[in-house]
Amino acid sequence: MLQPFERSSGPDPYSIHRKLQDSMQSLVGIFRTEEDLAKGIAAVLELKREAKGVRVEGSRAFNPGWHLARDLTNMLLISEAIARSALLRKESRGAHARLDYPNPDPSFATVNSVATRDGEGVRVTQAPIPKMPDELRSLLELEPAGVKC
Amino acid sequence: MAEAVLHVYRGDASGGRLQEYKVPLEEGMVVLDAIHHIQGHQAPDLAVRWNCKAAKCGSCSAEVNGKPKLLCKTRMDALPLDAPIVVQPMKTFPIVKDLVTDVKWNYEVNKKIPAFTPKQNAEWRWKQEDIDRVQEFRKCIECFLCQDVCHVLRSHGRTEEFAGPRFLVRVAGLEMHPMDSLNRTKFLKQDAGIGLCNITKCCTEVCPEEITITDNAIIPLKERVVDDHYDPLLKLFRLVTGGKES
Repeated sequence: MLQPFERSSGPDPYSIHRKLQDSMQSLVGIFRTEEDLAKGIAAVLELKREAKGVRVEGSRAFNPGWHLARDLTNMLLISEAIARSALLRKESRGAHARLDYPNPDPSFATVNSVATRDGEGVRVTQAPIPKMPDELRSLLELEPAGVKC
Repeated sequence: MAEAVLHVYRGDASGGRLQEYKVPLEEGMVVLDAIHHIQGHQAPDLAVRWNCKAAKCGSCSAEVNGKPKLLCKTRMDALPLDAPIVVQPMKTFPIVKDLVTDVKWNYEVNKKIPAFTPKQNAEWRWKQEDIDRVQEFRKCIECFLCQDVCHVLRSHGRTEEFAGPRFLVRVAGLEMHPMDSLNRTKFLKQDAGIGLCNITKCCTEVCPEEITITDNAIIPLKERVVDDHYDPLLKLFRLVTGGKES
């Protein structure tokens, strides 16, 4: 936890943060393609490597640079999970828009993407969508029949 | 590219000084953006407290060119750029580091205020104008800029005797609530020290939510205190009838 203070050289957390923002914005943004997503994953992995040598200055008291150095670990983890699951989902659905797969694919309607920590990386697998509990299903089925709210 | 020069206070409880930074100017930039630019490029350990960047959370209170301001609401193009922009922490509260101050005294004061106590068995209907009156006080975002500027707290340090504008606003919101049943004039007189306010209206001037603190909250409360505790005719009446002061 205190290692970033002890290093005499290394990138500062803000520069890695900016690079991560730029990569995610341009490669894993609103309209996605397989090529961009693959580049995005590579960029995140490179930044993950860089972040291991991050260096912070100053004291431990209210030090935003140090806080960011700690936050970066989570940001990079989540970014990798987002990019990997976007790559796997070869369809467009809701807020996930793939230029190379512009339409929804019914087979994806039955699965969730599940991201799991795998050593230092992230592994994304597919799991069937859990069955809706009966009490919820009954509410949804009753509503159009004209139940008074 | 045009640049702005900022003098930002760097230090902690043991002391500090103004440090000069140069920041490229961008359109629509606010002082908080400049502070973040310094953080991201020159001083990663520069401490500043901020959250919403939309003048609604009340976290980034500081003093810009000596005036209490929200850093996120103070536009660079509204400041004279031919001289350095001086950014300092709020003077009234103890400093933690750089632009961050410890405002916990405020929360301690807040705990002393008798809470909303609804009337029993009353009908919950009231007029729009009664809602509007109380709504003004509920706009407060607790940035504590009014507490920072108030000379009773800032220059005289009367934190033990005086609750400060923010909490007089809160009491006003409770006292003027049509469904509240308490009378807080004794609290105002004895614990909140409302008599110490001498209506310089500085709190109203700095309020980023534009609450008319002095005229709409403090003065009406002062009038209630005077009615209950200083009216000679009422005092005589109470003496004769044996009625108690509230």
